[in-house]
Amino acid sequence: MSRYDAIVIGASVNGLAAAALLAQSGARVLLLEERAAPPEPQGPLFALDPDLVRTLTLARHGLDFRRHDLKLAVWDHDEPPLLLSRDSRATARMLARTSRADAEAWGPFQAQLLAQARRLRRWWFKPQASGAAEAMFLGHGARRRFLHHSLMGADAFLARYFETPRLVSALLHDALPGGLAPSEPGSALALVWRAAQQMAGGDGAVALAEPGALIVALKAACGAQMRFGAAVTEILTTRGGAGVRLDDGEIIEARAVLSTLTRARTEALAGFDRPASVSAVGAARIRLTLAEGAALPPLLEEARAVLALLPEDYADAHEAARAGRLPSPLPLSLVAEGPRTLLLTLPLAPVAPPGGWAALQAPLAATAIRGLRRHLPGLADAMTGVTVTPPKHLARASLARLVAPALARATTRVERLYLCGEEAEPVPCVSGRAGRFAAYFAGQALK
Amino acid sequence: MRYDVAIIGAGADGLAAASLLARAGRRVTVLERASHAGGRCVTSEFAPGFLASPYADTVPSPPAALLPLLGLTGLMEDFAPMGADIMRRRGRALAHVLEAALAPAPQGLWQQLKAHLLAGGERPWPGADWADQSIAALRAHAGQNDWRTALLGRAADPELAGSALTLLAAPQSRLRRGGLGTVGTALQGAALRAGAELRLEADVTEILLSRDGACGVALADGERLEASAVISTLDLKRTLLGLFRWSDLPPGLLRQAGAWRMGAGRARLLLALEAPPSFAKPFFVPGDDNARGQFRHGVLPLLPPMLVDPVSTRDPSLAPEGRAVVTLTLGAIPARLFDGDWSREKRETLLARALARLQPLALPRLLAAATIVPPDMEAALGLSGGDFDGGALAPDQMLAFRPGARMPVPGLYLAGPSSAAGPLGLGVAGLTAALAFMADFSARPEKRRTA
Repeated sequence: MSRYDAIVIGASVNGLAAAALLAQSGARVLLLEERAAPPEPQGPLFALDPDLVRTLTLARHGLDFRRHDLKLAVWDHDEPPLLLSRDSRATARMLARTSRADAEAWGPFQAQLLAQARRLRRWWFKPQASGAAEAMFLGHGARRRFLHHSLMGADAFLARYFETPRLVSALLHDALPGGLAPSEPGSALALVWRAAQQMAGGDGAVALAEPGALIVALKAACGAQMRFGAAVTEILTTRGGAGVRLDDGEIIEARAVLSTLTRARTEALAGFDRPASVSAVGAARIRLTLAEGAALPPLLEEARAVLALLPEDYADAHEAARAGRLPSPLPLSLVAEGPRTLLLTLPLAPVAPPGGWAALQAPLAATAIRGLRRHLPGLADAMTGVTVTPPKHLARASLARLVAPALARATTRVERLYLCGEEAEPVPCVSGRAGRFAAYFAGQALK
Repeated sequence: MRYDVAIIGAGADGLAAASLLARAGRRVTVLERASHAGGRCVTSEFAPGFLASPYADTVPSPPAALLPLLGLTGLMEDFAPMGADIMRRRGRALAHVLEAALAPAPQGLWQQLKAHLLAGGERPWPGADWADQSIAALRAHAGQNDWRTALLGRAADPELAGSALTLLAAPQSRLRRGGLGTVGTALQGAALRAGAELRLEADVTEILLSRDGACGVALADGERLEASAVISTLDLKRTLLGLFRWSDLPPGLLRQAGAWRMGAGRARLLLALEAPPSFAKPFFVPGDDNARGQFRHGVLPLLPPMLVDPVSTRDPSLAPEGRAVVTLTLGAIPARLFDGDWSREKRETLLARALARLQPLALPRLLAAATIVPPDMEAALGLSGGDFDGGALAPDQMLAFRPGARMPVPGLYLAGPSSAAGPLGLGVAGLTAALAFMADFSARPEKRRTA
């Protein structure tokens, strides 16, 4: 039996990142993954950590992007789509076709988001151990504006700028990660968080990696030992260290354990039992494969599309999903993963419907496809496969989590047991940043 | 004749401010559009012999320490006792608001130093920890029923973060006798005894501005009254967007007033019954899942949340001998309907649906009923959209992010429901504005302290 410096549970993007960084700093690291291979992240990347890409030289290890800087298309079936991009002037020209007021508001709206994002980047991108996010703002006025913004709901914030309902609802789509409601404090700040990711550059902006490339690059960059098919059944705490017990009874000791699992699951493995408080609303995904020869609209070449709804529909959908019902209309965005694969994201799906998820999968897919009928005529005939991924059981996103220092999100009630999964991110996403932070904090503790 | 203060609106806030200022020896006039004073604090005869407070039966009572100052000692009783924590927080928040009213506008070197000293430390107002908290999460230690009455007539969703702040504004007191009109009469008496002037049917159409701020008001009949300062008890939107020429105000202020969000409306049904009902205590009938969604889309909800209160059971003075008055307060009622005006048919539909829900209780025969919907409250009380709170009680519109008593226009004070003190207790916004005026004008009463 050998003793490691650190054990990382789960070979997700965050797990691989944490293991790679710890190994790079000279630690002996073991990466354990329950499945036979690392799980592939789903959907477009909103926030791949540029620091991680640089430190691990992921580009040299084969990371390649299929598309950079995906635009956001507000897709209505009977009106030309609105294309929103990082090019502020082009976007304003696009908006001017339907509303002059919206076109004029786009610049100030972006300026406001970017001004706050510039300040908060340091807060979100560095492994802050303590302090408060508002300290990033100097002066009474700036701090007050930030506090006001953080208490605002995204619906109220967007209504200050824009008058076209479908534009507001499409922007709302991005403000509701992790089960926030459109009127909840923190949802307006989630827009700033998004803006901060986009400022991080081409790799950090909305992009689609070549299938498998991210995991392959991370695996190649990872100097840790890896074991697949190894399920952890218990996290052990010993004096001055930690360890894990595997399902075959084997005990592996280490000086620190990093977990990509949820906080509730991780603490349960460590012997704490408490009722896990899980968000009732989460993002479900549906992957549609199309028959050979089926053509996707050119719009999906350059953009991810959000179906145009009313802002009130988002509030209704949140309420329905929370009660375990299927929202109607169903908020939905889609991206073309390949020439014949469509990935639909449904941010407001019920996490634990009363009848169980198995019973909800078919009606959910049917509702989503019905919603797309008028945008993609002939979709139903061209489909050859439908895979539904239920929402994960994650803790509810909140303002407190968005503004907490990274250390508060990474630590658990057990010393030297760190979280590095999606719950250690300010909002659920695939950025690898939580892995980087957990590796940093664990590295400090191991010194 | 030049007044020290012209007060717009003779509701609880206006009368409380008048009586405090008049006792301090100021020349005060209170201008009321209606033919009676009291605002929402009235009791009226809605059918021969049957009395009720048309707009509400309960109010958020101010902390006990302020009751003697308002002249309201001994009139009220608890309706839905709040957890001690809620009353403590209400008191602390109000102390914060009063402190800000007594101090001159924050500015200068000291203020900047303080901001730096507090960097990352103190939050700007007490209660900040509730901004991210839902009522559902607090339910355990918030008492039995109060969260539901706190939400009634407000669109807040108890499951969402930030809804806990509505508890600070929860109406928990009712009158021992005579309905809310008792409060109106008491406040009016106090103001008149102190020497304030009260002018009824005086409709203020404009706040007059001179080079250095508000200098009086103009009435609908063309009369102009000069005053050193103006206190408006109307809500923020009505005060800034309704009583000024827009070109006279700084664009930033207009934008803020434009972006101010009003909350939900409520409807009141007053029922005159032939005999006392089978129930003696108020009870709450929850709405269905769709009520809030229907409200958002401007649809008349089928099953809105409803508070049923047999008011004459505890206060027999409201109904003739042997008869009874029951009031229904309905939440999630849109001020504007998507399919047109609040017509007579729609009011009748509202009443019929509510009565149908009470069918199982076998109410005694209905002799008469009055239906009061949000546009009626807007017309009678000047509340934009019929919102009693003068603006949604969302975290970004509460406490420090609600306008203080001082408006950016010198000499203009806001005392209505939209002001920071507004939701924290009956009449305290009026007290706050009066104290702010006296702090600003105490050094040289005749000359305005320039900010």
